[in-house]
This record gives sequence, C-alpha cells and structure tokens, in this order.
Amino acid sequence: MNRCFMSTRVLFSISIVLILGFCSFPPSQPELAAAQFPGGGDLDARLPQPLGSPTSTVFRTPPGRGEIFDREALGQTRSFCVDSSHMGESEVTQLKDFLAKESQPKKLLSKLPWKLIDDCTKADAVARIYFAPVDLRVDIRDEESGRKKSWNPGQSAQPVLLIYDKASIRLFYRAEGEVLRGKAVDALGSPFSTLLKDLKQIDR
Amino acid sequence: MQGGASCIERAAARHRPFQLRTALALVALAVGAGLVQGPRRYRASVPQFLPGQSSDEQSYYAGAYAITDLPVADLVADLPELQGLQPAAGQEPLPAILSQAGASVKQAYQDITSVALDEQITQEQFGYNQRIQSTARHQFSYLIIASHEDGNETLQEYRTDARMKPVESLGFGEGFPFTKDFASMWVLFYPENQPEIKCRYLGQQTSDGRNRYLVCFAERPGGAVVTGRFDAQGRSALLLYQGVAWIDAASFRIVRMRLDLLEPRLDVALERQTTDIQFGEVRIPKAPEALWLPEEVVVTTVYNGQLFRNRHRYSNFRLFVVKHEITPAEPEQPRAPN
Repeated sequence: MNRCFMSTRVLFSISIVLILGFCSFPPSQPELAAAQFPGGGDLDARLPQPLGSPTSTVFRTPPGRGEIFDREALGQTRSFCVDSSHMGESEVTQLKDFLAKESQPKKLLSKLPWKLIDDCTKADAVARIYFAPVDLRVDIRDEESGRKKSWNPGQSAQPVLLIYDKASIRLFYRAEGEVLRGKAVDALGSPFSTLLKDLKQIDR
Repeated sequence: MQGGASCIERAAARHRPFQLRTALALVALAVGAGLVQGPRRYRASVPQFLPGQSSDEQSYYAGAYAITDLPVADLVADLPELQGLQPAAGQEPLPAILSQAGASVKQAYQDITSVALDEQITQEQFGYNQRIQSTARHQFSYLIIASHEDGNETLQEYRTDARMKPVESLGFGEGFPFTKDFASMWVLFYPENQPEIKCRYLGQQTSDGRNRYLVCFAERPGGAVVTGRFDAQGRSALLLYQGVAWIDAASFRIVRMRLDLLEPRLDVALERQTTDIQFGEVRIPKAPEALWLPEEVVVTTVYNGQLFRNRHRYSNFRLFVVKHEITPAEPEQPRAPN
C-alpha cells in the first residue's frame, strides 16, 4: 500500500469509497467468523490514514441515519427481542456477548426506550442483524495530472440492523453500521446507536 | 410458539393419492446472477421434495412466528388491506370455507388450458425514504402451458418475446429483480395441499359490493408444497410463504392473495418480499370454460437495502394452440466421390 504511494511521487488526495456489494452476497458465516479481511490483519493496517468518511451516495442510507419505514409502529414499540436464528454459531456467540455487555446499566441498549426481552412471541418488535458485503475501494487522485485511480483492497462486511413486526410481514426500520475493522462484535453497536438517535428524533 | 388451526385434520393428510406441488421461481437479482430455476410445474405423485430442494432447506423456517399466530387486532393494524374487516367470532366456519375453496381450486385447475397473454411490467427502484430512483417498462408475451396427460399434471409459465422465444433475463442489465410464475398460486388451497398450511379465519370484508371471506395462512416448514426460490450471484434460497387469501363468499374463488416471506432470508440479503396477486375470471373465445388467472401482480422486494417494486399487468388472454405439421424428409442425395 505504502509502496504504491511512494512510487508515484506525486501528491494525492485520497477518498475512501465503500461500495455496498449489491452484486455480491454476504460472506458465509465461517468466512465472517474468521475475521473479514483478505490476507488477514485489520483494516487500519491496510488502508491509508485517516480513513475519511464514505461518500453518502454509495450507502443505502446517509451515514449515521437509519431508514424509517413505519414511524408509528416504531413509536408504539415498547419491547423487542433479537432473533439470531439466521446466524451462524460464531456470530450468535458474538451477538450474545454484545447483548449481555450492552444491556448493562448506562450501556447502549439500556438507553433504548425499548425493553429487550428473550421471548420473541412476547415482544412488540423483532430485531435482526446480518452482515452485508462491502467492497472496499480507494479512489486516488493524482493532483498533478488530475487523473483518478481506483484500488480495491478487498471486501469487508457491515452490520445491518432490521426491525420487523412480530410475524416479519412488515419492516419498520433499517440501519447500516460501521464497516468491520476487526471482530464482528465491535461493529454491532453502531447500528444500535443509529437506532437510538432515530428513536430520540421520533420522540421529539 | 406456533398457534392457529390446521386447515384440515392432519389425519386426512395420510391419504393423498394426488398432490399438487409447485416450485415458484420468484426472483433473481443482479448482473451475472444465475437465472431463476425452470418454470413452475405441478405434478402428481412427486417425490417428497422437488429437485434442487433438499429436506434441510425448509428447516431454515422452523419455529417461525407466523401471521396465523398474531392476534387479529394486531394483524388489522399491520395490514392496511384488512380495513373494513368484520372480525370472526370464532373459527367454526373455517372447515366449510376451506372445503368449498378447495373444491373451487380443484375445478379451476381442471379447467385450466394453455393460454397466451400479454404482460406489461413496470419496474421501479426506490432510494432513501422511498423516493423513486429509476423506472423501466417492458411488454412481453406470456405463455401458460397446461398439460393433463398420463395423470401427470404440469403447468409451466414462460415469458416470451414477439417471436415466442422465452425471455429469462428481463431487467438484469438494469439491476432490477426478475419476477415470474404467479398464474396459480391458489394451488396452496388445493384440497390435498391444505394440510401443509396453517390457517385462521379472520372474518368478512365487503369490496366492490362482493362479500369475501378472509383467511390467513402460513406454510408448515418441512412439508410446504408451494415454494419460491431466490437466486442471485450463484447463491440460492428457498422461500416459504405466509399471507392472506380473499375468498369470494358466493363462488369460493380465491380473488386475491397477499404473500409474505415466512421469514426474511438474510443469509442472501433478502430483507423483505411481499407479493400481492389479484385474480379474475377470464373468458376466452373458444375456450370451454372461464379460467381463473391473475390480472395484476405487485411484488415488493427489499434486497440488501434496495427497495424494488415490480408491477405485472396481464391482458389479451387467448387460447394457445401448437400446430404440428409432419412433412416427409427429402431423400438424401448420394454424395459424389471426391
């Protein structure tokens, strides 16, 4: 990566564009469990710093905001469960760790105006998380020639939080989290933070 | 977790000399994706699972909380289509409604013949906050080929171009989903198929001056006979359904169906899919019986955060007859030696 910059000996403006992998599928569970980056290592070591912000056009939703499909249903929700039946074993373990940790007083999930319960048949809403594929692309502009170059350092994943009604016939809400940089568990908080922010807005 | 009444007693399921099974190839997405599987077939005496469908595939849906488990009040709040529902006082009318609807479906299936029709498709892609980003319109011919030969009932659907050549890649280049095979979703209520769905009688609703019985249903994982398939990028997922059927109170014809996924298939980024099918009686010149076919179908799909809506409209129904002409081959001329 650094060699690439050195050899061109010109000034670069770097923007990181994260492309949601519309034409590809989420990595399989074992792939995800084995943490995420081709060639190993974490993302920080593989991309130029600072990372910068992904451009909003490549995300389904603007960064830091979720998409509210049913404001009223979200406003009426008082309890929710997290359904992990579609997840692989290692993802379930990481999710459980996250829920246990973040449900503690003053932690993220305790700040939600909804009560987290185990039994989905008794919850008002069902939350599901999956990891959507993200193709990483680095756009480099040679400031002398003005030419743009792209470089694809590989693929990662991004947690997507979905809130459904109990029978999953309606989707109330969708939020995309931060791109994984290491363990999946570390990225799980970001879509919940977005949800928290959006719920506060709904309350207002 | 599971509730809701069985459509008919499970004991009746032991005697099924004839069972209609269908595989509904629904959606394929994305450029370069593997196409949807072949046309839908209804077959008698088929093996337990259709080709390409392993017995494990339905286990994905095991334990799914379904529409039939929801309190009616919640369901009415959830589905705007249920506005004006007069809720049922109990489930007593359900067996009679299902029995009559089953007979009507069986009759419709016996009446069905090969037809050609015109299909108009409007595809919409939505962006953030459901703003339309792009629209595409297509016009096709559509063939429904019915065969009742040798006790082997088949029904196949083809989308074709003006030369009657099958078209299977609609919308792919533009990134739209490809949806098809709705002609007889009502086979879910075929008498021999009813044991494989859980049903609940919701009540009555009047629409266009007609009284309708509303029944919600959910397929039973492990035994579902009407299944869909979602294909993209070489990955494939089996789809099981739940939904609501509107049954005409006078004719017991199924006039409308809303189908939702029994559970989202997040393993292939299929976040939601709803199919709304409006059926109608179609009278075709020279056809012995009126047919029961879809008039309009709207499929709403959320795939990897992208919302799509495909609207299919069908018209100009006509009998489809294949003419065979056998001509003697020209006698082969002896080749001259080199």
